[in-house]
Amino acid sequence: MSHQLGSEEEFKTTIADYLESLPAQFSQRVFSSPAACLAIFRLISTVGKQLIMSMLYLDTSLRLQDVSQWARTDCQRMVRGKIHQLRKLQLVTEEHGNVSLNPVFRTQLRNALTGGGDFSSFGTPFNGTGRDTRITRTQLAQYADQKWEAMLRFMVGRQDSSGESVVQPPAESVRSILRTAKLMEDGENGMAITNSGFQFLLQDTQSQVWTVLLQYLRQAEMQQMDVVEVLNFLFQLISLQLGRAYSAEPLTSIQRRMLGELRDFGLVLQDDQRPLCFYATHLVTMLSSSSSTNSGANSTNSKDSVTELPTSQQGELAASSSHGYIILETNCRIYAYTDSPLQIAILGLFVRLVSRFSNLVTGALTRDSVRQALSQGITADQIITFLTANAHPQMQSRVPVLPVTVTDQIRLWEQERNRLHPTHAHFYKDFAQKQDFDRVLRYAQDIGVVLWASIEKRQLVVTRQVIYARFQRLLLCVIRVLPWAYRDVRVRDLIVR
Amino acid sequence: MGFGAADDEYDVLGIPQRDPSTGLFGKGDYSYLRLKPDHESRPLWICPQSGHIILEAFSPIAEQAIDFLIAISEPVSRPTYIHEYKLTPFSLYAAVSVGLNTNDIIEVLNRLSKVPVPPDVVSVINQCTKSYGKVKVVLKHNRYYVESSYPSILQRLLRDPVIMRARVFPEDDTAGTVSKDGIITQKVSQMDDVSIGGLKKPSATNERAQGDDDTATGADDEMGLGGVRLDKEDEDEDEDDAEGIVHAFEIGSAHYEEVRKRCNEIDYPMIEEYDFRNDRRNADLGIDLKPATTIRPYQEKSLSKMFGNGRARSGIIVLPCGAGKTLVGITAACTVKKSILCLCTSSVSVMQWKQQFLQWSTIKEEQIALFTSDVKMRFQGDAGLVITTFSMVANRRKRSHEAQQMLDFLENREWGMMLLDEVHVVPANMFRNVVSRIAAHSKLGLTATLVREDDKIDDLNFLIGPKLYEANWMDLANKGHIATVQCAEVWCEMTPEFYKAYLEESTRKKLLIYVMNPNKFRACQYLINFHNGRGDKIIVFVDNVFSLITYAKTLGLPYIYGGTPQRERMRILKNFQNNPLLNTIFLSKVGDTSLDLPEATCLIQVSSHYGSRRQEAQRLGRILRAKRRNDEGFNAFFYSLVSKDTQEMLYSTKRQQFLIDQGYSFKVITQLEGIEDCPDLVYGDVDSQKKLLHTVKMASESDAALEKEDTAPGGSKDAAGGSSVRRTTGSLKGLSGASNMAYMESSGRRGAGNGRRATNREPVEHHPLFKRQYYSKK
Repeated sequence: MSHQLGSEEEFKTTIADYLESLPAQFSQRVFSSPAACLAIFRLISTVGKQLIMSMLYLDTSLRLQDVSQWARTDCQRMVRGKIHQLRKLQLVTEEHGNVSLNPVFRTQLRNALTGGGDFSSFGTPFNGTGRDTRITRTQLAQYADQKWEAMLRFMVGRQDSSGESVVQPPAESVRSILRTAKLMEDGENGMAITNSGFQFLLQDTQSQVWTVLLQYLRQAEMQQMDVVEVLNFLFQLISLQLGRAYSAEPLTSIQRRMLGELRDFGLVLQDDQRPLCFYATHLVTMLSSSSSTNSGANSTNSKDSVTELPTSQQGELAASSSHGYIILETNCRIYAYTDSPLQIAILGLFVRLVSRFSNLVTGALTRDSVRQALSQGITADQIITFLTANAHPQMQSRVPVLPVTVTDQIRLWEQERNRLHPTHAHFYKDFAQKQDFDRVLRYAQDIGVVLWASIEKRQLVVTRQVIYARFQRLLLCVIRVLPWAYRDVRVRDLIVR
Repeated sequence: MGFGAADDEYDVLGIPQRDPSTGLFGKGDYSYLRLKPDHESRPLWICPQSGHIILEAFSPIAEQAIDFLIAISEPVSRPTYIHEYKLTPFSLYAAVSVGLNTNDIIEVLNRLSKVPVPPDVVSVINQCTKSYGKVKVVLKHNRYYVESSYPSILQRLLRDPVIMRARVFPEDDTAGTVSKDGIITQKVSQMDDVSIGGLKKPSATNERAQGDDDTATGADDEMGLGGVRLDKEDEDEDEDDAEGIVHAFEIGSAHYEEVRKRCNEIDYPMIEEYDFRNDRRNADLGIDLKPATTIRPYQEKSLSKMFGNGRARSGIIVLPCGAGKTLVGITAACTVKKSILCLCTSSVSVMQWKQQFLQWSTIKEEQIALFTSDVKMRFQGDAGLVITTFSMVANRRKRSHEAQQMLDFLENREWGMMLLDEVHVVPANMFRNVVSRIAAHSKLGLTATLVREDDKIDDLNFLIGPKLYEANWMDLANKGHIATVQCAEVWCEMTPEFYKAYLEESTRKKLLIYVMNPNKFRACQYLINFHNGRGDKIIVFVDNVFSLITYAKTLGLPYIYGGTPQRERMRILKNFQNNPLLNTIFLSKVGDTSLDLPEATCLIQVSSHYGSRRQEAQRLGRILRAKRRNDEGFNAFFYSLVSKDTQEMLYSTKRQQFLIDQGYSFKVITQLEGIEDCPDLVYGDVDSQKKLLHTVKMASESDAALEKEDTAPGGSKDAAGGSSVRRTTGSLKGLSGASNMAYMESSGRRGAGNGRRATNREPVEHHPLFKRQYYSKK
């Protein structure tokens, strides 16, 4: 399975960027939790993991040169790059050409692996009983997908004929995140999706969850919450076991508040009857494991995940079907093998939908439908990338995947919207005397700055160029009254050329 | 009858799915149709109400499904992956006439469909097929018999007073058994002794690949049933038995028209079939395909639909230009082996047909008679072939003695088959005229594009017969039968001066201005130079005569339009074909159809007839038969030059629709690469552009019109003084071809002009009277 836009790697580096930006004392506090150390460890690349594992049980520092010797000569450069990255994450310290693991990180990662230290950072199981039978994994998956899809559907936001929004708006916390992340903005008729919001919709679930979590961190910062506590709790959530009940009792007040807010996204589930009991859903637990992308992709395909637990095999199946369900024909018709309301809603953003069967949606790209999408800030490239990424396996074999004529057409539709280029110009009016106007006009014509002139109305539009200053001066000399008689206008240069 | 839906039927199928997408589709939400459990192995969906069928063309059984669908429905779009078809009453009528019955259709549809066939579709199929095609009219021993496998239907017909009156009671020597009520019962002739065009003669088969032969016999057997054979079951046998017996009664030939009309009225349209092998009364024509002649699989398939049960069915065969329609016609003639009347659109194509007949078949020159304004000859012997034009036959004006004699000759004979070339161009009334006056046992219409901007196509269904076969353009191109074409739409920016003039001028001058746009001029010249360099032979189409002449003269190239004398035309065309120094010619509309130039490999369209989809397809057809099409990597090129921001853009989009639905795609070129680096292009500077604009502005309004006789409904100029104004006051819809601004009709009249253009320069040869008569009838 190939990752197209907003790949996993890209988003991991974004959380990495966030960690890098933390001041040293903050990161030391983050590292003081074994769960956070393990989660971070799982997030970094394979080579990084390899380097850390090699140094984990070394108490002395290593010479950087020796470290690079571990790799083949052609890869040494890459290894040094990795060391540099790890250093930026403050996992590795470097002094006089010697490298060693950050001592706090080293200790706590060892604890995480061997089960020592403050093990409550991995969450306290509820009542100490092992597997809770009251909420099954299926229910969890159903709950998470439903919440997450509700948010996405809200973003796609459609209004039916009565003007009422068909989709129940999600909780305020969700809306506020969407707003601050600039995925949606407040418009006349409630919230409307933005350009980046559309991009967001086109990403896979894992990337989407990261985007939301990062935004949550930024918002927490703005609200003067203790970032370290927030971070630690996030890493704790990531490390939780799917389907197991955890106790909220040992949590701090900030963390309990987070629990309430993350619940609205479907990242965690809180049992109504037992308020001190919570579960992590696959949306968060999948973040630390790359293999779980499958079950993530599953979430867009509600049918499968709702009815049955996404076992790995089924997950793959769902992934392959959700990956590539759109056929685009040379006659601009679109056939999408889907029954997901969300996917249909996304298509509805730029496709004129025509008919629908249980497993197929037909529609057409029309000038109007595409222009409507464009007017919402969606770009032609985004539409094309989306269609390419989700092209049906039948189309994948072709190069290029989409018919060139159609992609050209979409771009042309975009271009035709951008045909008016506003440029600054000056508009002169109210010339008192005809000969004044004539002299100015003649002069303007001589130096070639006239855009438009009407002799009857004694009005004149000139370009704003370097000579403009000279023109101004001359105007002043020629006709003494003018300085106040003009105003700037933006001239559309479509026809007047 | 139609696809009106009865809502309460849906409950049978399942509870409509309710989710947030409900309502997005309006009436197009068919999610209540339950998928069959094994839907993945079935290739199609059926829409209730509209009767649309959506087919996965990548399915393993798509080919059989397509064979079946093409028999029962009209193709809507056939691009690469997903095809769409539509069930219409006419398509179902055609299905029945090639031998499918109601149960076959519903059963095979159900077998192929992912969803159950919706009840309303079933009821429409029932409704359309129940009455259609159950009754045949057969000419046997020159007597008309009304025939049916269902005695009850005959009883029903006999109760009708009109038909009863026409009835003739059988005499004693009739073959078969005669029942009490006078209905003759007979065994139907067996299918398997048909031979198409003598193909099964050993001399012919030797020349052909064994594989082809298999498809030949296979095609007869499988014809029509298409998908039924897909997974054949026992039930077929019973049906065969039932169909083995036919019932008939005779009607008097004087009442033939009357009965046909009456049958249409009471919803039992009759299929016309000709039992040519048992026709002893009309003399046989000794004609066969030459041993060296091979016909292609799709040609054979189309013919097998016509001769499926050993008789000749009347109908229309649709093949792309250049796919060998002529050969299909000739093969049909060789199968029927009776006197043949062949009607074409112009005297040029009369000559071409004659030449083709001599080339492919064993017919002797003295058996062929031509009937045009120049030549009037007759064939020798009892049977023969007459080639003429529609207008020669349809023209009712007082004729010269010679022509009148010839007409009498045509009308007083019985013809085995009437071949109608380019059947889409001829107006219905002219057809009616021809068809009713000439007695032919069967009729075969040939065309490439069964689309008209008006809805007169439907008339053809009853005047000639149903569409028997329609080929897939892309499929033929992929198999190398016709050339693959790169289509492009070149956007030419209007120069500021021209655009200003465009905005200011009257509607009809606008056309001239966007056609004469200097940038278009330059683009045209650039493309000519470019393709000259590649060794292509280029045809440039300019509809508007004024522009045609300006373009051609400026670029110093020869041109042909309506006013060009025949001899001059032939000289230019010969030169184009044989002279390596002449690689480009300019043509007006005269070149649209029936002009066989296999040398041409590149086509540039500078101006065209508004939004006519048919013209676009016909023009593309000029390069589909390119001689070099089977060269490795060969592509023919089709450019359409369009002035940006003018009405032309709108027309252009509309024009392309037919081809796009056939799977062609038009690449939009906004900037021709390297055009700036060509200093020797014309109209490079503003001064010369202004001069050009001046000429255009000075041009009279009449110059701005498209070729005269093609647009004025009155025909000759003096006959329709006011019509020149009327011509342009049509609505936009009308101009773009949506209402009956019928391009094909005018082409028909070109045919009527006998291939000679009736411009104002050239006096109209005949028929203002005829035309007035024709149009007053409308």
